[in-house]
Amino acid sequence: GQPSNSANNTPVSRERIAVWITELLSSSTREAALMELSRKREKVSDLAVLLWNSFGSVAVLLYEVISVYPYITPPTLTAQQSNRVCNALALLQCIASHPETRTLFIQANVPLFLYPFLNTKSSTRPFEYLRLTSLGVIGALVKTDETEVINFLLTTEIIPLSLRIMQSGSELSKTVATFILQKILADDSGLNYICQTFDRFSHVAMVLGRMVLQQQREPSGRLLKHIIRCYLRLSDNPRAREALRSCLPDCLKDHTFDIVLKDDQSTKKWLSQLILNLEAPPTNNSQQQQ
Amino acid sequence: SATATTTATAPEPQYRLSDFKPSTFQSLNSMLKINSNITIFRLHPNLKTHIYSPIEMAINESFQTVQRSLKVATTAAEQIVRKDFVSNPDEQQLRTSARNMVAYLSSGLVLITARAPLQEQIQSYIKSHFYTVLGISQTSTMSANEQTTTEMIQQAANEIATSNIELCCCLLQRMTISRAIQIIDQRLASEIELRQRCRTEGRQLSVANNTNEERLPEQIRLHYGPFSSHQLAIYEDFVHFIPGFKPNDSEKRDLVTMDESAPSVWDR
Repeated sequence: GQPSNSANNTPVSRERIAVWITELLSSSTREAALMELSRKREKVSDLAVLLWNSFGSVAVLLYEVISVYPYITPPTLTAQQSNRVCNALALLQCIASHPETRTLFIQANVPLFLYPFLNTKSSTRPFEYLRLTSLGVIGALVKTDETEVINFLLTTEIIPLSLRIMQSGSELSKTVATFILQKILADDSGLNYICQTFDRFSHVAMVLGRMVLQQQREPSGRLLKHIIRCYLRLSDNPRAREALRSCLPDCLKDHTFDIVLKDDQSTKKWLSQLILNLEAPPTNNSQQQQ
Repeated sequence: SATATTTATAPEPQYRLSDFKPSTFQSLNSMLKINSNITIFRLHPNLKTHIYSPIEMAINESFQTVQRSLKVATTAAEQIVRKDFVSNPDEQQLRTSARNMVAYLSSGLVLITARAPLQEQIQSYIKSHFYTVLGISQTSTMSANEQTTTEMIQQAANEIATSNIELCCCLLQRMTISRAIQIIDQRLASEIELRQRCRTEGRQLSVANNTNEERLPEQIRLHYGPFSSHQLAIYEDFVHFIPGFKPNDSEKRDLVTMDESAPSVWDR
């Protein structure tokens, strides 16, 4: 049955949270404890600290993540398995978000155990939910613009994984994946990494270009906003700016998206800035030496 | 639809961890599953003796991709075990738990990242090995007879790879586990030594003052001393349910008493 305190907004007692955390350790109480903790995670501001510093909690969460690997290929994950592992992922997201635990989370390589989920292709609901929740963990990591996070991610295959989801995921997954790319680009080392070789840049530009064309058919203001932010940031790099002059989709330059962006002043401003950046004639200033 | 996934179920694992001798191929040859109805074997029975070597080559080739899994798994296990056992003076609990965790993590990563490429490699190595044995050149134009043979070879390679991928992947996982345990033992050697020294000198393990501890509710704080079996259950589960293998109680003993002499494949 539904626990009495799950629906209202009263704060959860720390004792109750501590009991659920100890209940993670036992396989008979774990599934219920995962669900309760994941439901309460917004209400306990230091839940990440409690989870990280208590014995065995992080070990349990990794155990849960890997326990579904055998159901990934061939794809046989059930809705119940997906829900359970997504509750574990929600708690990992909580650890990824918290400033006191984020570095430890990265140092322990925990995000890398989620990548096999990002790499899945099944479009059934259990897999969509698994991909979206896993993306959410990475999204939580990049949200606060820490160079340390970006430097970690650049040593992993997150860019190709995000690009694949940006092309083929559900709209929500595409939005989170594009957000991750935007945050990587926002960092100087991320922008340099992507613009370092023509192959990397052109892969990113091709995926963004296709997404813009898709936006003409099925516009989504939220997704379009992240796409435009990615382009705008790319235009900060002199070589990428040159390339974008010829490969930015025309529909971003005319009034195709005026209606979609009607109420979004900041995105409209970013789009004008992007076009302005590309219109400026090539200069011979020192930036070009990069 | 969402219900579609519930109709297919994942196949049950066939092997136990203890079916494999750590870090050697000696168990493989006798365990290979070769269907003698494969057409090409009726025409060329001697080809059956040429299966083992391409499979061994394919597994050897996988060590490259396994290195990444090893690196990720050992780092994760080291960081998490260090924090969980910081106030536990029992070096046996520390060492066994670390081994169990790293076995689980590395085996899981190999299962999910190396299995599909390994299956492709096995197939392609068997194919080219059979071509060589039968003296078929893939570049020149083939006679009708040779074309039939290459089709049969293709079919045989497919079937052998499919029926042996679980076996080969389990062997690869077993070898990875051995190596992961060597690495984690080395990484935690100073922690283990420190605990041994404390005991012989009759003093307590000094625990760095962790300010976070005071913020934790009493029942989830780390207390000084060895863990109860209830607390350690998660670290026991790691070795009981290694991904890709049948659950087995004897696994625990296997990993703890594992031969510590270096497996040669990793030292090449």
